[in-house]
Amino acid sequence: MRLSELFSTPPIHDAGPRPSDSELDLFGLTHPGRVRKENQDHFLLCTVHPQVVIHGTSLPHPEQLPQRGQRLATIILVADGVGGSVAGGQASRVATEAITRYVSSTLRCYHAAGTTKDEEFLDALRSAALGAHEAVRADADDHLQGGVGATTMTLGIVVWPLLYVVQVGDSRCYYFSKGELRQVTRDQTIAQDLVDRGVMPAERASGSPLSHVLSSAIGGPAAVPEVTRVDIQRGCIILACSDGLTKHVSDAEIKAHLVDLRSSEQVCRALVELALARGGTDNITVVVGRARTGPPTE
Amino acid sequence: MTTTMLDTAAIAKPLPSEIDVFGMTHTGRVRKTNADHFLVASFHRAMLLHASSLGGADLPTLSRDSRGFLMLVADGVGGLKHAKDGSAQATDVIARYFLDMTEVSLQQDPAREPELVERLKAAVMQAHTALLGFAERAGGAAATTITVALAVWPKAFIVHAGDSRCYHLRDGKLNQVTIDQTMAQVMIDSGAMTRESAESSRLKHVLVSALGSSQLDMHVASLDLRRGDRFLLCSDGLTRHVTDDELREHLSGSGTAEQICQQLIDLALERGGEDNVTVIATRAKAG
Repeated sequence: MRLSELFSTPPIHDAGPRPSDSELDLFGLTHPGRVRKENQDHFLLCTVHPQVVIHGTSLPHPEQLPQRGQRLATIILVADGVGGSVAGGQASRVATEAITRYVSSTLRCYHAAGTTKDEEFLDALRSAALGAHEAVRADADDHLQGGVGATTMTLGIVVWPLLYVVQVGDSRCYYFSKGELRQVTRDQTIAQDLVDRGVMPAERASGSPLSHVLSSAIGGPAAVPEVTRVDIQRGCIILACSDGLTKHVSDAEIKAHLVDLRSSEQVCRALVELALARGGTDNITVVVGRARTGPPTE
Repeated sequence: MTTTMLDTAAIAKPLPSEIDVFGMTHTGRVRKTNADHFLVASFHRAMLLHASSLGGADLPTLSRDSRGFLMLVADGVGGLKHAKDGSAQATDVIARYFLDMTEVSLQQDPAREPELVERLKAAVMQAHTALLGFAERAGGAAATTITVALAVWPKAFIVHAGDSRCYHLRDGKLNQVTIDQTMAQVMIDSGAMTRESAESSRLKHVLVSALGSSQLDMHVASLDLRRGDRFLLCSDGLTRHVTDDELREHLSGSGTAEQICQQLIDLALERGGEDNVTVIATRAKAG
């Protein structure tokens, strides 16, 4: 067996070449909207890298050693604080911070992604969500005198060529590739639960008042993380958003914007503008990640 | 069926605050240049924030907990024109190699241990190849000893060529992990020379294996780590002046890793400092 074979994971699907760090085009934007006074949405967009810390050396120019390696993973997170209370904004912030801490230090399983140890990674992601749930609960006990904050959480982790999504609540993650848009996450609302059980017709769900009642939330009475794995392709776009976008902008419109994408920033700004133009009744957050397919267009 | 009682205090990974590692080098009193090189590095995970609604200030960017420690001593082979280049290049190549492999291999999965050893050897092999290439271009050999210890709790791996040394101290006992790859050692092993006569023999300083030379016989050792274990890596500039008993005394004392390095280098200098002296000492708090 050749040495290289020992360390390479056999490709799961033909994804195309892994984008280098410099090819990534990541952007995120949040806006309070036109009605709410406060913005209780939070988002995070980061990459995780191996890093060497040199404690001592005789080498004359240690600063010239490459101390940070190519990314192991890209992290996309949207959290939408539930309800109008102060507690909602606090909950989405605490959950985002808890996840940040988790992925930057505790989560040890990037190497297990896409291998036979996939299950270990999926478990780790579920426990990350439950860890955030505990953090929000503990924070509420400490600071909110009995008030309970809750938040949605849509967490996307890209370990090329796989996208793992952890879903709690009704923020969304979309996957766009080869002209097709697909909603990766399932809205964890009472309305969607009824649709899934065949009790409510799908077309009635979005108009139902139950479409805004979460059946699962971080910090809420029930937090039931759902983990999805998607095989991703070179040239794809990943979009995560809060419902402040999707209550005003349809899937067809999101798709049209991604088809015409010039940069992640341009798409984020255009979609937020569109939601604002239609009333901006809630906080709006849009996060877009992709790899440039050619030289940067702008 | 046998059962093993595990002493959890002995197997718990030391906290970052409990690990104390230090490295130091000195030209000595005789040589004009220092051809020794060393490196002490730890592997972490860093988070690069691209955009967030959170203020960046209170977000952790570097994991405090390290995935492993790398300690390296390279002693450029004396007398040769490019001695210093050899040890510097080897250190540089190995450091770069390890950056690439950190996440793949620095994990506590016993099933992947052979991989880790293979990679460690491959890193040293790459440095060897780089030195041979350099020698061809520069028109002269650039050779060096190499002693690398990689600690990935609960194991330590040591790769070695030449006559720098790695010592391991446990329960007050000092054990030389590496075998000197010198002509004198070969003759001792074959019974052709006694250990006593080897001490004063000129063959003591003739290497039979080195990185970047035509002869490379890389040796690998692995150890199970325990809380309280200490390590010492050094070039022969230390051990030609300081005995194993003295090393044990200093390494097992209550001094910090920095104090241990300083005291041992001072001792070598007091006794003539005939060669470049390099010392790396590690201590982890006992459980």
